[in-house]
Amino acid sequence: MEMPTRYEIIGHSFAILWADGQEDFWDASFLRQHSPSADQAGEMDIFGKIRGGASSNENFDHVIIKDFHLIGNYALRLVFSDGHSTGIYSWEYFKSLRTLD
Amino acid sequence: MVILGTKFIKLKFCIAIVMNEPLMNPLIMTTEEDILVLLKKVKYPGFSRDIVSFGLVTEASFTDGYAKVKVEVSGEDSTLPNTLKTEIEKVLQEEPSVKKHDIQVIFKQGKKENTQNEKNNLAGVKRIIAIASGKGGVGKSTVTANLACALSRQTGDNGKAFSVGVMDCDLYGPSIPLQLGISEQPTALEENLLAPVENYGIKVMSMGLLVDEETPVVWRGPMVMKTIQQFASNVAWGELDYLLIDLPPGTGDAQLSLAQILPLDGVVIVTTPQKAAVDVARRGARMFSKVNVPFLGVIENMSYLLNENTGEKSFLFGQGGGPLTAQKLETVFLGEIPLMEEVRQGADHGVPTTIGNPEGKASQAFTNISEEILNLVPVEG
Repeated sequence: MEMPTRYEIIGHSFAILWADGQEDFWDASFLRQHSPSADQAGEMDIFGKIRGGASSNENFDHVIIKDFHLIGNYALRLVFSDGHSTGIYSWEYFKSLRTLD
Repeated sequence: MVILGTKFIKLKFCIAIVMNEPLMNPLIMTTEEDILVLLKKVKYPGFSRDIVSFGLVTEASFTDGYAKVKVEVSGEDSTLPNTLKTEIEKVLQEEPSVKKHDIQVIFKQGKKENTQNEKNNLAGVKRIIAIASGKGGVGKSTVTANLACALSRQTGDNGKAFSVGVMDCDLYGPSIPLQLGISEQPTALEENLLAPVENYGIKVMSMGLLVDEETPVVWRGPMVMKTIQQFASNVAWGELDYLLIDLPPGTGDAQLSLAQILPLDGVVIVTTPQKAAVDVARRGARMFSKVNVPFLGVIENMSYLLNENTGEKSFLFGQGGGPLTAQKLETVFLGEIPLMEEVRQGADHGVPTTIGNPEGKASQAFTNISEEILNLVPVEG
């Protein structure tokens, strides 16, 4: 997958401009709620059951993104204002969030 | 005057659209909602979305022809506030009922994007190539050592030989030092900076140089990550055309750390011909698509045993595994390496066959593959 052309924090949103010219904008609270980190999303055991993770109806309305780090060629690690920073969002994962938004 | 939060703006704006249809006549524009409608024409530079939708407008008021707008932005581009201010001015001036305006753009300088690569010592390295396989025992280290030597014997357009390094990321079972005939310990250049050890003109860093060969490296994942990070950050690699990374088998901590820490230019997959190796090699290779590292191609090692007297080939491990792997991964088949005693001997004695017998059949295969790699990931100069 091609690297995005631009990605940045704009206000309360995170914006990505993809190489093909498409754009995506997400609210920080939405990205926080859908963090792929095991802390948030849990982990699958050998029966395919999700273990751990956080409750999905937690309210992240006031959470903002403070910082982000590029991970290799494939992902960003987002640092949120509530201290959560273990979610690694791959380009692929960002695109999959379109169906939820 | 109203202070607006993101959510609030959206709500108000919906109302504004419904209520203000008849107010589209600019002469009777009176409310802050109308100002927001105007501000919606201002796009955030580089994106198609406007500054109101981004929630950047923290204040918008309109009284007796006097428009007051407050915008808060942050970022690394210090020209952003002026660009926005000019744009906002433009849309306000186009509106006749706005007699006076006051635009305030508050700018918070954000730091530059943080890449984990910034602080490493690989700025002088032009190309980084990983040698990987899901399967153990297929000869990743032998291929790495010989490819490194074959690459360093090639010359670029400027007539200079390529400078090559090898980072041995097989921390539990390092074999690069043995294969490249290196046993001396790296020297510390300064605090927190090790010099790689050099032989045959190839710079090497390996766990095998840091602990003696009888000491097992018994580590959990985080230590693996930390060590690979230090191999990148605390080793004086200097100027290199190619840095080859020898990986342990599998798709665990070493591979993931590497993919997260280093900007890899590509990965070469090594397999032997038989199904038992091909299936696992391929599964391991799939990891690199997930982390956005391109495949450079597949090398088939131990392809056949050659009877040097009769020229007869024995296909001990079957045939076709390498090309099949390449086909399934939709990448190039880089070539086959014959199973030869001299390759094994070279590895055991620290004289890779590409150095010890450069005209031999295995060396030719390595040389051909190195030429392919030079074409796939060229360096300038």
